[in-house]
Amino acid sequence: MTDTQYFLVRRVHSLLGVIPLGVFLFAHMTTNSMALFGQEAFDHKVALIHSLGPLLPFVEAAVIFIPLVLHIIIGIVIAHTGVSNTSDLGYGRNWAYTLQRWTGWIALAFLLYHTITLRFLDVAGGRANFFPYMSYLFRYDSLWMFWIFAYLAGGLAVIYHFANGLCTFCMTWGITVGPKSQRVMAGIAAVVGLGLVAMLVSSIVGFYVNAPIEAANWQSGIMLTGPN
Amino acid sequence: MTSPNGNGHSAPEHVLLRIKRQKAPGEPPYWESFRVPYEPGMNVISALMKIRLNPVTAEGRATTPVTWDSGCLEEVCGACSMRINGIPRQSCTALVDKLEQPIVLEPFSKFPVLRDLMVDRTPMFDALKRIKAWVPLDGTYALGPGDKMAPELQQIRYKYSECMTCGCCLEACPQYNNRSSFIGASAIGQAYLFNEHPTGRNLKGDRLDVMMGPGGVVDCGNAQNCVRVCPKHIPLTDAIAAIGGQVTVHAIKKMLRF
Repeated sequence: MTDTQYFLVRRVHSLLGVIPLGVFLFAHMTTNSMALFGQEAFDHKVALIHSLGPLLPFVEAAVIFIPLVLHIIIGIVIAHTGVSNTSDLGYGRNWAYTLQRWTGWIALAFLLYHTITLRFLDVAGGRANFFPYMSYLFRYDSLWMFWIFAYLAGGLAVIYHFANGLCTFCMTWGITVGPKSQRVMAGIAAVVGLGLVAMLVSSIVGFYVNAPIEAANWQSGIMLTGPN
Repeated sequence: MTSPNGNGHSAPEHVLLRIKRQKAPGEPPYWESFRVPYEPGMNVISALMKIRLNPVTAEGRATTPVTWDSGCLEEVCGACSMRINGIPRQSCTALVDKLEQPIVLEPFSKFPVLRDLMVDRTPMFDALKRIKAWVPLDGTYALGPGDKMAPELQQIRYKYSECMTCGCCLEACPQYNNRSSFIGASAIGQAYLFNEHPTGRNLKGDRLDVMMGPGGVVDCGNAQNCVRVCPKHIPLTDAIAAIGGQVTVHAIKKMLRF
């Protein structure tokens, strides 16, 4: 690999995390947080995405799938070049570095499960069922506490990975050069991250509180929890 | 029993040390403890000198004297760098009064151990050669005086010129290890130092080629331990971000001029 190619691979990884993946994370969390305002608001937002019609698979591939797969593959290689040493040097940014790798692995497991079940296997049975399906998992399934925990843990991992990634993006590209500008950026990233956490929590509350009647008797949920 | 030290406080009569030792390159490491007489104001090197005077372990067993490397004894040469209670630093400025006991001494883990606390820091000097950390002046005729440097630039560059190639930044770096070819913060700081020099700038392209390739600045993981452990307080992370920016411009220019 030439120097230029290596540079491109590393910078593509850095860029993809913000554009388009970070932007998409915002769009996705906005949609999810709509659950707080009830199924109608949520479904309206989902319908808006699906109004792309036949273009949707292409947009999905260009904005989500291909960037995500590239980001994951390069990320795994990068993670293998590091040896964490927070036990000796417990500095804040050293923890941020280590957490960036841990949350990367957690996010990978979460997103694999999330996309395989909901996108590729379509266990909910179509987008009209997203809301009752989530309500079933979070409220009526015997493992409801586990589903909420897994959703929260996966979501927090993705959000941390993105927020810290914003800080390191600015360092990597030479945007925030000094420690002061880097601290300001950390503050901005914290605000962005907390905003996303608020959306994440709203979505859990929304799916739980606004559960439609049919959610209690959801059947395809069995596919995930196994025969009872 | 206690004896007074310079601060008027009572001080222990002995200093306890736990040292990770190694007989030769490639040999397995082993640990030995030592109890040496306390002296007011002593540093880790003077404690090591006491062991050399009387190489007997804390258990009373005769052993070989502990080998270490040192030069200036005033924190400008970097030779006596080691891990002291887990932190990479110079043993000459590690004052026993300020250290928790037993004082744990380990050789740097990121460099080949020659013996005991002495390591081979050749990779650092090889890195300086790779990035051409010099001002190109050699030639067949006198080049005359160089360009003047603004005092502001002198101030910025001065900090980077203090680098003594001690290796603390590399020892602390999670990206500097045998799984990665990362060149490390010291070399990036020196690339910045010489890229900003009016004549040293002539080799900027060569330096940035190294910085954009495998092991270059792009392999930095932004853990920022380097700047935390640097004994000279060199703003290494400023240099990393600045070189990151220089590399971006350099790479785009390179891609457009093929």
